[in-house]
Amino acid sequence: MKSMLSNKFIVIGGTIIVLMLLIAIFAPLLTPYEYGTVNLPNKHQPPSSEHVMGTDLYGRDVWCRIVYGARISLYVSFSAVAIAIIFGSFFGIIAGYLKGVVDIVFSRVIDIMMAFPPLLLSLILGACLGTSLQNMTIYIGVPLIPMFFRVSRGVTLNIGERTYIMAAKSIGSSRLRIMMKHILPNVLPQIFVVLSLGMGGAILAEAALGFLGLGVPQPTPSWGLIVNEGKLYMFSAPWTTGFSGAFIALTVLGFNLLGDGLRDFLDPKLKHLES
Amino acid sequence: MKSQKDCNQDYNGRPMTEHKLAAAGKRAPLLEIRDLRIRFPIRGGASVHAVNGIDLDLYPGESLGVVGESGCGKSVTFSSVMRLVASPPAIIEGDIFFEGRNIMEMTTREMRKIRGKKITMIFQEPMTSLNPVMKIGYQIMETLLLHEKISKKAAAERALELFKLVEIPDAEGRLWCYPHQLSGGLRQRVMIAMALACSPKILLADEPTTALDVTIQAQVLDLLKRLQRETSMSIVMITHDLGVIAELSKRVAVFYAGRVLEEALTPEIFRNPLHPYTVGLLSCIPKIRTEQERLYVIEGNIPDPTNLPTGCPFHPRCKIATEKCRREEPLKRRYSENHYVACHYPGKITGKITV
Ligand SMILES: Nc1ncnc2c1ncn2[C@@H]1O[C@H](COP(=O)(O)OP(=O)(O)OP(=O)(O)O)[C@@H](O)[C@H]1O
Ligand SMILES: [Mg+2]
Repeated sequence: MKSMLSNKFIVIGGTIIVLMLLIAIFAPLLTPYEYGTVNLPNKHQPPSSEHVMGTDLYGRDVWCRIVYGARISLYVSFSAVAIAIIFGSFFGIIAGYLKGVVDIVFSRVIDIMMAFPPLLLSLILGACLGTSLQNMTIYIGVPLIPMFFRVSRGVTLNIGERTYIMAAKSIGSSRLRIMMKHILPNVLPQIFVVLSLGMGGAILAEAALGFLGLGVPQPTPSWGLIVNEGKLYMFSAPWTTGFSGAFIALTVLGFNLLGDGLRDFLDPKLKHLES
Repeated sequence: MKSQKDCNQDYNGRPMTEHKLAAAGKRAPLLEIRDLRIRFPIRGGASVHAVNGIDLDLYPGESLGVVGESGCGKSVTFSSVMRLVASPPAIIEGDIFFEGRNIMEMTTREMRKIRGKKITMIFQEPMTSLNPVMKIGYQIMETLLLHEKISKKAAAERALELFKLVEIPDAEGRLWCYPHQLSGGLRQRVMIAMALACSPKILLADEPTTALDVTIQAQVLDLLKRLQRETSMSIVMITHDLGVIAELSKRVAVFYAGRVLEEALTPEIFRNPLHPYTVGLLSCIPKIRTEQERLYVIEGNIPDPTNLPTGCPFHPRCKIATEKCRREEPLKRRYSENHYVACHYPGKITGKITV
C-alpha cells in the first residue's frame, strides 16, 4: 500500500477519479438547483456567484448539470466496462484454454469486431437498438469487448501450459473449475490494468455519442449531452461546452494516469506471467 | 498383431503373464500398460515418436523405478496414464488398464474420479507446480474437497496433518503462505502432501528431486522412502539417476527412445545387467566400478524422435550391433526369473559390478 502511494501516476489519477466519484455521489448536496428546471429568461448567463459555471440554452445551471451528469456518465461507463469485462474475459479464457476450433471461431469474431472503428460500431449498434440508458451501456460496452478478450486470451494461453494447471488437472479438477479457480485469478490483475484504460475510453465514447445525438434521452444530463447542447453556442456562450469538456478531459486523464500507474506498480507482481 | 503375440511369450514360448503373476505372488497387476504408442505430429507431415510400444505392469504396493535419458518418453508415458497428454494434438494408441478397466476408454468424468483420488502425480518442476496466486493450504484442500465429502474446516485440518506428515517445519504458519514464499524443497513437500491427500493407490513421481540441490534431494528422498514404508501405495519413481533407484525401488524399467529395453528387480540389474545400454548406464555411475575400468561407455546421442532408426533403437550407439540389430527390432522377452530384456544378444557385454 505504501509503495502504491509513492507512484505519482496512481496518486494523481486516483485523486481525480475519487473526486469525480464523490461529486457524482453527493450531487444533490453540491448544488441548490434541479437539473431539469427550465428557466428560459435566464438562458446563457455567464458564470457568476449565483451560477458558478453559467447557465445553458434553457437557463439551467451548468454546474448542476455537470454534477448530475457525472452520475450518468460514470454509471454508463462503469456498466459498459463491466459488460465488456464479463464477456471479454469469459470468451477470452475459454478461447485461450480450449484452443483449437473454439479459439479460431471466437478470435475471428473478435477480429471482425475490431475491423470497425469503435465509434462506428457504437453508432451502428446505437442506431439499431435505439437510445436509452440500458442500450447505451450495451453499445458503448460492446466495442470494448475485444480489448478484454485479447488480454484474457493472452494470459490464458501463457499460463495454460504451466505445470500448475496440469497439476490442477491431475488432482481431478474439471475444465470449468480450472478456468474459474486457477486461470481467472491470474487473469484478473491484468484485467485490472486494462480496466482503467477501458474506463477512459468509455467516458470518451459516451461524450462522443452524446455529441452525435446518440446519448441518453433528454432531460437527463450526461457530459456528452451537455457538450452536444452547447455546441451551437460554442462562441457566444463557451462556458457550457468549456466546463463540461474540461470534466470529460480531466476524467479521461485520471483514468489513463491510473491505468499507467497500476501497470507500472503491478508489473513486478505480474512477472510470473512472463516466460 | 504379430508383435503383440511375441511380446506375450518368453524364450521358451510360454505366455509371459503367467510368469509375471507367479513372480508377483499371484497378484494381478494394478496398472497394465499395453503396447502404448504416442506421437506428436509436427509440421511437414513428420511426427515426434515419443513412445513406441511400451508394455509395463505395476503391482499393488510395489515401487517401480523408471530410468532413462532425457527425452526418452518417461514423462509422456506416465502423464498418459492419467490421460494428461492432450490428444489432439498427440496421437495415442494402445491400452492402459487400471484395476482391470481400460483408462483409454473412460469418460472424462470417470477419469476425474481417478485423478487425485486413485492415481496422483508429482511433477518435475517444483517451482511451477503450484498456482502462484493461490494459498498453498487451499491447494491441498482442493484435492480433498474434490474427492471427499468433507467440510472446509475438516479439509483444512487434514491439510495441516498432511503438512506435518511431509515434515514441513512450522506447518501452521506455512499453510496460508503463497508458493513464492517457499523454497523449492518445501514446495516439493507441498506437492507430495497434495499427492498423498486422498491416499492414492498409485503415486507417479516424475523426477521429484532433479530440480533440487543435493542436500534437499536427500531429504526429499528420505521422506519418500519413509512414506513408501508406511503406506501401501505403489510408487513409480521416474529419474535418470540409478542411485535414486537403488535406494527407493524394488524393480527397475530401463527406458530408451520410447521403449522398455530391460526390466528386472533392482539388485538383479546391478548384479547382472543384460542390455548393452543398461551396462553403459551403470558404468556411468561414478561411485561404482565395473570389473574393467570404464568397460563400456555409451557414445553418441539419443536417436532423433522424428526419425528413429530401424531395428533396435540402440543399435547406432551399440558396440556389438550386428546386421540383425539393424534390421530386426528385438522384442522384450523373459531372460530369467524377474528379468526381461529387449536385445538380440542379451548379456554379451557383461558389466558385473564390484562395489
Ligand atoms: N506436447 C508435445 N509436443 C511435441 N513433442 C513432445 C510433447 N511432449 C513431449 N514431446 C516429446 O516427446 C519426447 C519425450 O518427452 P518426455 O518429456 O516424455 O521425456 P522425458 O523422458 O520425461 O525426459 P526428461 O528426463 O527430460 O524429463 C521428447 O522428444 C519431447 O520433445
Ligand atoms: Mg520428464
